[in-house]
Amino acid sequence: MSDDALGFEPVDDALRRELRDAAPRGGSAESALDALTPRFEHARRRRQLALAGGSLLSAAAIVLVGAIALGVGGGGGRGSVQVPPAGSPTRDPTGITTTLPVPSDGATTGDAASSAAASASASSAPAPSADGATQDPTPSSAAPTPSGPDPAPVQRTFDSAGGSVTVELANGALAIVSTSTAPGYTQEIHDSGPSRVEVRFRNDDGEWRVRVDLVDGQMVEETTHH
Amino acid sequence: MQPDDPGTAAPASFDEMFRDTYWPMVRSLAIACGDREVAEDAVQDAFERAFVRWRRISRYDDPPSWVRHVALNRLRDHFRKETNKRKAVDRLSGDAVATEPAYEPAGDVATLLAHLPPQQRIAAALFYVEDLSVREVAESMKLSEGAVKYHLHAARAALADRVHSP
Repeated sequence: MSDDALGFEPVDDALRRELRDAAPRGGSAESALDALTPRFEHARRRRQLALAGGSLLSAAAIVLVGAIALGVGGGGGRGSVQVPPAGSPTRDPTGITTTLPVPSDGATTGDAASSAAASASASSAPAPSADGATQDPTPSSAAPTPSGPDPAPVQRTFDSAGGSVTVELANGALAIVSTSTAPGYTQEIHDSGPSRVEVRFRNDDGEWRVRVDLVDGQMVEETTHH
Repeated sequence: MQPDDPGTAAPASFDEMFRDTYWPMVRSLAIACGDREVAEDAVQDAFERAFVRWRRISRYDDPPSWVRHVALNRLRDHFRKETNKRKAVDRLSGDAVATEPAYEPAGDVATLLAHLPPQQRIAAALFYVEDLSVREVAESMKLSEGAVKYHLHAARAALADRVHSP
């Protein structure tokens, strides 16, 4: 502290001595740490659950918006949807096949509400590819839409600090499409479906578990650290 | 014990910070607020927040200053609530409003310190009890170094007559 001395060293020294004498005695930092560890761990789990809950709420909100948008679009509103390839048959999750009008510039017209709804619909209802499989345009955030008689396969990617897992839900079964391991981690596929997928990413400091369960036809993620 | 990000920070870092700073913080904040229990609660809350956010906090230049700043905010919150509670009780009972928290320090200088404005109390406690530099005090209080020197000067002027020469 000599660099911060303000020119009152004798007074400073006396103040320092008397105030330190008046301060409560400290104990063992190690035992304090041991005593507080459960509380800290509990706080961390609480925070992880809160974050996971937030993710689930976001996914639920997306599904809800998508469902509302499909209801608006399927109700015969005058707005139309831009879904490539324009003019080709498009199946929505209710199983109804419709043919969209072909606009001259590939864009569509309509009022703002129907456009917004259509955008949400497009993001939540993947367009079929040539082989019938679908590619979710936003796999990290999109959730499967309400299932119809033959829901299209859906892929989602779940991330953790140890790595990520891409899971496909097709014909009521989960399957691992791919995994990606973060530097310094090794992976173990603990469950590969059909009702549960779990991949564990390990390093010297611990283990991240990315688990996806099939619950009511939906993928439900739980990422934990051990 | 392992903070929330084993990949970016050595697990020992949080533990090391805790071992080095926990009791000095409790002692200095106890002197600043006059209540060891409240000081301990505030410091523990701050360390808890650091633990669950360790991935971010560990990248800061001075994680202990962050913890200390959070603890000081918890102290202010506590005494703000206590003051408001007391004012409400006083209003209901028709008595005069008391704004100073109860304080039972263990020495003449500490007793006098208790009657200084909060910023002076905190600056003096961190500087003299925890032996922080002016820069560290400024970082913890989110003040400029000049402001910290001002508060220390005022605290020293108020306390100087009461200290006992060695």
